[in-house]
Amino acid sequence: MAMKRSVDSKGIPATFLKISVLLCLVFAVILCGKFTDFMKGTGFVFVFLGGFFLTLISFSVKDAAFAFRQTMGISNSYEAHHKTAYFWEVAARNFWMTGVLGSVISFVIALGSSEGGIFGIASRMSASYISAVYGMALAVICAVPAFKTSGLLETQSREERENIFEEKTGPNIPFFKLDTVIGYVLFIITLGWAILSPLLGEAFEGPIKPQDLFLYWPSLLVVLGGTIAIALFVGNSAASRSITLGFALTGLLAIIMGLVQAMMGFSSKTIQDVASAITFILSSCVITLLGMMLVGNPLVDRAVKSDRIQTTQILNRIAWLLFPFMTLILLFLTFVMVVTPIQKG
Amino acid sequence: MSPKNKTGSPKTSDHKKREDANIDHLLKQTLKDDLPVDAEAVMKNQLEGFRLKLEEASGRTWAGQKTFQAILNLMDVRWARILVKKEVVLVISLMMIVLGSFIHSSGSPNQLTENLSVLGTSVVVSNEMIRSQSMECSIQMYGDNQEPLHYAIQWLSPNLSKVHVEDSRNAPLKTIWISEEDIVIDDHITDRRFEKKISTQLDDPILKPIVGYLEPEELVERMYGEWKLLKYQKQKECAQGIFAIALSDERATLEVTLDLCTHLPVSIKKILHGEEFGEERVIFNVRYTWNIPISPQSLAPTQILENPKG
Repeated sequence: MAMKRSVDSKGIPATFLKISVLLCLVFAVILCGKFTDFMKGTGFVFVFLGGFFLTLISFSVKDAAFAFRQTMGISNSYEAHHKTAYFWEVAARNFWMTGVLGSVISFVIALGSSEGGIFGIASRMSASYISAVYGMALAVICAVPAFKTSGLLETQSREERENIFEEKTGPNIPFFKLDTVIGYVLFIITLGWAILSPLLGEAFEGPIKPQDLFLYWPSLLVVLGGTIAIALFVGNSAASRSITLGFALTGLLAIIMGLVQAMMGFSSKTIQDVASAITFILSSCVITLLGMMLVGNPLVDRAVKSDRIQTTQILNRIAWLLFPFMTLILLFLTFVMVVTPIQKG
Repeated sequence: MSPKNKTGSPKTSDHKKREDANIDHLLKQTLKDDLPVDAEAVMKNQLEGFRLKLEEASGRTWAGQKTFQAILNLMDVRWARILVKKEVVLVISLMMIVLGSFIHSSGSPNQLTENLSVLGTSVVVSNEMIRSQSMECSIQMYGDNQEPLHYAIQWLSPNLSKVHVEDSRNAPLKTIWISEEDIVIDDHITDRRFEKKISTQLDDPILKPIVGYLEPEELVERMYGEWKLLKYQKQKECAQGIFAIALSDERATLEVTLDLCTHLPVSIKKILHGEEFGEERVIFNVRYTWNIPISPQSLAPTQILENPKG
C-alpha cells in the first residue's frame, strides 16, 4: 500500500511536467509564425468539442475522471487498466473521426461558395484539411496513454486475466443514460453550429446550397439500406459490432460507385455526371461518418463495456481508422475533379 | 389387431385414450373462447415474446426487433408487426439500396453542375488568355461629369502594349507605348513626350481607370483571385457565356461575355450600382479581338510625336 502511494505521488507531478513541456512546445510552434496557415480557431474548437462530446456518449464524466486518474498510475488492477486503455482509444477515435468530418464540412462549404474566384475556392478547399490535422494531433495525444496502458495490460498475471474472462457477462448497461443523452445533444449542437454558422453568415453567397450536398437522398438510402442489410446478415450475435463495419463497407461501396460515375463522366466529358458523382461521394462520406460516430461506435463501446473484453475489435478498428483516411483521399480527388476543367472536344 | 404400446398391452392403450379424451374435455370446458379483450391481448403479447425468444435462439430474428415490437405494441399498430420480421426488413433494406441507386442514376438536376461548369470555364478562360499571342481592345469610358473617352489598346505577347486615347470628338489625347523596360507617353494636348522606367507607376488620371485591362495577365489575375461570381448564364444558341463578377473594392460588377468556342472574352461591361444615379450605370464597355496578327514594329514608339495636334 505504501509502495502504491509513492507511485501516486511521483506519477501526478511527472504527468503535469510532461503536459507543461507539451504545452510549451505548442506555444513555441504558434509563436514562431511558420505555421500560420495551420491556425484555424473555429476548426480546432469544432474538433475538440465534437470529439469530447462524442466521448461523453460512450463514457460518463465519472469514467473520464477515472481514466485521467488511472493514467497517472493510481490503481494497478487489470480491469482498471483495461477500462482506461479503452477510454483513451475511444477518445483518439472520436477526435480523429471528428477531425475528418470537420474537413468534409469545410470542403463542402468551400465548394458552395464562389467568393475569391478560383484562387479563393481552391485555397478554402485546401484549408479544409486543417481540421483533419487537428483531429489527428489530438488522436495521437490520446493514443499515447492508450498504448501505455495497453502495455501495462500485457504485464498482468494470467490468473487476473482469466478472472476477467470468467466475468465477461457484465452488467446490462442501459443505452440512454443521462451522460449519453447530454453527449448526443451537445454533439448535435456543435455539428449544427459548424454547418450553419458559415451558411447563415453574410459572407456566404454561393450558387449552391451545401445542405443539399450533406444530405443527398440517394446516398442516404444506399448507405442506410446497405448497413441494415449487413447487420441483418451478421445476425444477433454480433449485431452491435456489425453496425460500424456495415456503415464503413456500405460507405465504401457508395464511394466506389461515385468514383466510377465520375471517371465515366470525365471520359464522356459530361459535367452533369461528374457533378452528380461528386455530390454522391461527399454525401456518402458525411452520412457514413455520422452513422459510425452516432450509432455504430456507441453500440460497440457499450458492447465492450458490458462484456469487459475487447473481442472482435480488429475489424471495427480497421473501419474507423481507414474509412476517414479514405475520405481524406477522396476529398483530394474531388478537389482535383473540381479544378480540372471538362471541355467538350 | 390394435397397435401395441411400449408395454405391449392393448388395455393400457385404451386407458390412455380415455385419459386423453378426459383432458380434452376438461380443456374445452376451462379454456372457452370468452376471454376478456385485455386478458387476450396480454396473452398474445406473452406468446409473441415467447415466439421471439425461440426465433432469437435459432438466429431468425434481427437486432432491435424486440424494441421495434415493443414500440409497435405500445402504439397499438398490430397490423404493422409484419414490418419487423427479418425477411421484410431485409427486403426493405435492399429496396432502399435499389431505390437510392435508381434515383441517383436517373440524373436529377444537380446544383453542383453549374458550379463546376463555372469553375471549369473560368480555368479554361484563364488558360486561353495566358496562351494568347496578341490582343486588340477598344474601351469606351463614361466618366463622372466629363466627356466620354475612347481607348484603343494593342498588346503583343509577352509585354508590348500600345494605348491610344481619344476624346468623344475623336481628337487624340495621349498615346502610350509600354515595353519590357520603359514607358513612352506622347501628350497630344501639350505636344510633349515623356519617357519613364517601367518601375514607375502609371499615375496618369486618364490611364488610371483602365489599369488592369492593359494586358491579359492582369485580367486573368482579376478573374483568378478577386471576383465573387454573381451569375453565370450560358447562351447555347450564340455559344456565349456571361459571367457577372462582383468587384471586392467597389459597388460595381463586371459582366464578362465569353465566346464559348474560343473561351476568350468578347466584351466586358463595368456596371456601377447605386441609388444616386438610378439603379445601375455602365461606366465602361470593352470589346476584345484576340490572336490577330500584329507586328512588333507597329507597337514600337515612333521617332516623332504621333498624330501631332493641328
